[in-house]
Amino acid sequence: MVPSTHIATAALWNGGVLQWLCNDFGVVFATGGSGAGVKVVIVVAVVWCGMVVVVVGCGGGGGLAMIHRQRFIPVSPKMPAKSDTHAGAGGGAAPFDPSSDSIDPIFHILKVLPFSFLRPPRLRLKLPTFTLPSAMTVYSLILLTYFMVVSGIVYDVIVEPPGIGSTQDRFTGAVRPVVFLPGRVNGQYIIEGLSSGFMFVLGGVGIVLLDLALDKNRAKSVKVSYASAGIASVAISYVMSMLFVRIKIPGYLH
Amino acid sequence: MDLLKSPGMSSLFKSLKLKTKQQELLIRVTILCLVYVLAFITRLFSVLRYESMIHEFDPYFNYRVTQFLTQKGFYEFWNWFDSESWYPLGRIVGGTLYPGLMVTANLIYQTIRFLRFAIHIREVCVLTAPFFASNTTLVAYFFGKELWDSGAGLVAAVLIAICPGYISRSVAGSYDNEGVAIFALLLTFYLFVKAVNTGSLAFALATAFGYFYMVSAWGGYVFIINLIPLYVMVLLITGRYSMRLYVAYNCTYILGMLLAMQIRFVGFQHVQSGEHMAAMGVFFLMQVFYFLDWVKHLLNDPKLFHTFLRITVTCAVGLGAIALGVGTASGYISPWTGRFYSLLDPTYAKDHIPIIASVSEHQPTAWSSFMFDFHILLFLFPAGLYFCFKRLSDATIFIVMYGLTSMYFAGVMVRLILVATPAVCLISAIAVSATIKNLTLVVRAKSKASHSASGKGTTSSKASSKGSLDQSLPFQRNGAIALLLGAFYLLSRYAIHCTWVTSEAYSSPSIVLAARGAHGNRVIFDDYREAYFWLRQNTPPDAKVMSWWDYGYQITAMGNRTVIVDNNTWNNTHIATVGRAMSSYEDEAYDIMRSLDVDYVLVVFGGVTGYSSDDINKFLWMVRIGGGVFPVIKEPDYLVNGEYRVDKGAAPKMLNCLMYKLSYYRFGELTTEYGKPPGYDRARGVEIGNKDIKLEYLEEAFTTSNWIVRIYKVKPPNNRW
Repeated sequence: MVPSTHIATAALWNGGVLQWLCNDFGVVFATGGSGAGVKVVIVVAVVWCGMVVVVVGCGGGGGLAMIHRQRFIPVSPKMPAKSDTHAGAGGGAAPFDPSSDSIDPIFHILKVLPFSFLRPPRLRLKLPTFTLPSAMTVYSLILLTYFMVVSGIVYDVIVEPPGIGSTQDRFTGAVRPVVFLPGRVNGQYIIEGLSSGFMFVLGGVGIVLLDLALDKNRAKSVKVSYASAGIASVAISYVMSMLFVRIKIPGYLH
Repeated sequence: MDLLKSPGMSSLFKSLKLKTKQQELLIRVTILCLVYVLAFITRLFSVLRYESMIHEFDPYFNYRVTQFLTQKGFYEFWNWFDSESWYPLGRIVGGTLYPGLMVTANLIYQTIRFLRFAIHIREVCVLTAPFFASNTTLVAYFFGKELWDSGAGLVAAVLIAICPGYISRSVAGSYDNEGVAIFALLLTFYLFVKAVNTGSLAFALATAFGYFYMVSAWGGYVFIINLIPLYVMVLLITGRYSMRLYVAYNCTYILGMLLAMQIRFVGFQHVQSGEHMAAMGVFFLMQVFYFLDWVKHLLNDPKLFHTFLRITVTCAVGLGAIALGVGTASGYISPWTGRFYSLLDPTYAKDHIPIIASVSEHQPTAWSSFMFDFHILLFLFPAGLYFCFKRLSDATIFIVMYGLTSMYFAGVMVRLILVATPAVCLISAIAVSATIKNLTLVVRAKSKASHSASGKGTTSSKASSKGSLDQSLPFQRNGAIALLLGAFYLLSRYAIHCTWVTSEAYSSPSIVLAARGAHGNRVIFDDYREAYFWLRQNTPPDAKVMSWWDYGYQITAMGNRTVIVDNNTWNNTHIATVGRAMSSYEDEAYDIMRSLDVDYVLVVFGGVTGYSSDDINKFLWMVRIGGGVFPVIKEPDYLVNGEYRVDKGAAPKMLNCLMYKLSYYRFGELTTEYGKPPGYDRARGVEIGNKDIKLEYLEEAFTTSNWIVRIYKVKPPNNRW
C-alpha cells in the first residue's frame, strides 16, 4: 500500500469527525446553552485541531519515513529495476512490511485499527519540497516592495486621492490636469507618487549597474555598457527628482 | 633655513611622522570628533533665533515632570499622583509614563551641579536631545564598523548626524522621548548584533541593559521586542542556527524581560500582551532547536533523526498553537492594542479610533515627505540592500530586516520615519562606502600596473597585454575620477539640503509663531505664552481651565492651573465630554461646564493672523470624537452638503455652537485686511456668517494681542429669588 494514502484516509476520517461535531454544535446551540456552550465548543475545537495536526503530522511523518526507507534500502547494482517493481508490487499486494522499523506510534495504531480490513486506494501524492529562493530573487522582490512603499501606496489606500488632479482655467473654462498636489508636503496624487518612486528605484538600480560594471570577470563591452547605463540612470534620476521637488515645494532651497 | 636643516629639527620631524596605521587612526578620530560637534550644532537653529525654550506640546509635560523630579527626589516622583490634570480624575504620573528621559536629564543636571556649574534645569532639558544625537553618531560608527568596515561606519556617522528624519524629533528644545529613545534603540541593536557575531555573554548582558533603557524611554520598544524574534526566525529558516545565536537571544530575552518589568507602565505586558508573544514563541522554538541539535548529536543515525525531527516539530508547533489559542480565548493574553494594530492594518484607525486618526503625525506618508527627510538616501538604500545581499552574513541580514520593516512602518505613519532613519543611513553608508572603494581601487590600479611594467621589462606577450591594458586604463581612470567627483557632488548636495530643511522646516518652536511682515521683516507672535502667563497671574490658584486636549500640557506647565483634558488622551469619554461641550449650544454647554467645575474656557483662534492650526479647523474632530461617545452630536448637522463652512451659508447648528461663539465673539467689528469687510476670517478666507454674537453664560476674560488665544470666564449661576 502506498503510505501517502495515510493522508487521504486521515482526511476522510476527520471529515466524519467534523460532521459529528457540527451536529453536536447544532444541538448545543439549539438548547441555548450559550456561555458554557461556547467554552465547550472552543475546547473541543482546540483539542480536535490538535489531534488533526498530530495525526496528519505523524501519518505524514510515518509515510515519509516509509518512502525514505524504501529509497534507503541498498539496491544491489545487478537488479535495480526489480527492486522498483518489488516495491510497487509489495505496495499493492502486502500492505505492510511486517518488519517495519518505524518508531511512529500512530502509524502502528493505524496499521491495526482501520487498515487491517480496509484497503485504501493507490494515489500518487507527493509532499511538495520547500527550497529557499536565491538571494537575488529575494532582492528583486524587495526592490518591488520598496518601490510601492516609497510611492506612498499606503497613503493612496487610506486617503484615496484621485489619480491626477484637475483645475479649471479661469478664462477659458477648460479643465487642465494638475500633476503635483500643491500646498502641502505630506500629500500626493497617485500618479505623482508612482513616478517619483520609479525615479528613486532607477537611481538605486543605476548604482547597482555601476557596481556590476566594475566587476572583473566580464567582457569589456558588457562592462562599458553597464557603466554607461548606470551613470545615465543615476544622473537622470537625480535630475528628475530634484525637478519634482522644486515643482512640489515652490520655496525649495530659498 | 639652517634651523630647519639642523639635525635636531629633522629628528623632531622624523619622530612626528606617523606610520600609516597611526595616520589612519588620527584621521578617523578627527572625523568622529568633527561629526560629534556637527551633530550638536546643526540642531541649535531655534535656540539662536528665538531663545532657549521648550517646543511643542508634549515636551512641556516632560519638563514639568523633570522639574518635580529635581525638586522632590526620585521616590516622590515615582509615587506622584497629579491632581492638576484630568480634573476630576487626576493622573497617576508614576505609573503612566516612561521615566527614562526625565531620569537621564536629572542625572545630567545633578552631574553638572556637582561640578559647581549653576545652570537651570530648563537648559539641560533643551540641550538633552542634541547631546544624545551626538552620541547616536558614535554608536552608528561602531555599528557600521560591525556590519561592513570602518569606512562605512564613518559614512554612517556623517549621514545620521545631519539626516532631517532624525533632526525633526531631536532638535534643541524638543524635549521628548524620541530624542533619547533613538540612541537607546541603536545601542540595543548594535549590542545584539555584536553578541550574535561573537557569541559573548557579556554583550548579551549589555543588550539586555540597553533594552531596559529603551523600555524606560519610549513606547516604541515594542518594535525591538518584535524585530529581534523575527530576525532570529529568519536566521533559523535560512539555516544559520548556531550556538552564538542561542546564547545571545536567550540571555537578551530573559534578562531584558525581567528588567522591563521594573517599569510600572509596562508591568507584566511581556507575558500578558499579544504584542510580546512573538518573542516568547521564538524563545521556546530556540529551546526546541537546541534539543533537536543535542538529540542529533546523540543519535548518529540520519533517518531515525528525520522521523524524530518531524514528530517533535509537529508536536511543538501544535502545542504552541494550542497554548496561544487557550491564552487568547480565556482572555489572559490581551489582543493587540489599537495603536499598534493600526500599524499592521492602516485602515483600522480611520474607521474605529478617531483620536488616533486625528493626529497629523499619524497620517500615512506621501513621497514628498520621504524625499524631504531622506534626499539622496532614497537612491542609496536599494543600492545598499544589493551590497548586503551580495555579502550575506548574520549582521547584514539583521540590517536588511531592520531597514525593510522600518521603511514599511514609515510608509504607514509619518512619525515613524524617525525609526527608519538609522537603518536607512546605515544601509546607504554601505552603498557609499562600497562604491567609493570600488572607484578608488580603479583609480589606484593604474599606478601599480605601470610600476610593474616599467620595473620588470618582460617578454613581448606581457608587454603587449600590459600595453592593451594601458590603453583602456587611462580611460577607466579618468572615468573613475569623474565618478568620484560626481559622488562628492551628490553628498555635498545632501548636506546643503539637510541644512536648509533643518533651518526652514524643523526649527520652529510651535509655541512662538513667526511670519514675514509687509516689508519682509520678521514678525513674531508670542501669544501662547502671553495667555498662559496671564492665566498664571490673574486667575485664582484653584481655577479649572477647559480647552481642547492639545493645549493641556502647556496650560499646566506654564499657566500652573488645573485642566480638564490634556495630551495624554487616556480617557476618551472625558475628551468626548469636552468635545460635546464645545459643539453644543451655549446653554447645554453651560450645564456640562458646571458639572465639571470649569472656571475658564480657552480657545485658539487664527482668523486675525491667518494661523491655520486653530480650534475652528480642528472643530470637526471635536464633533467626531464627541459624537463617537454621545450620539446626540451628529456630524452632518455641522456640514452643508458635506462641506464645512463658517460663512453665511453655514449650518445653523454650526453658527450657534459654543466654539463658534467663543472664537468669533466681537470679531464682526474687526477689520482684518485692507479691502475686505469687517469680520473677514483670514484663515478660512471667508467673511463669517454670524457677526452679532451675544454670550449669556460666559464673559470674555482675556484676548491676546493678535487674537490667537482667547480666554473666557464661566459665570456663576444666577441668584435665585
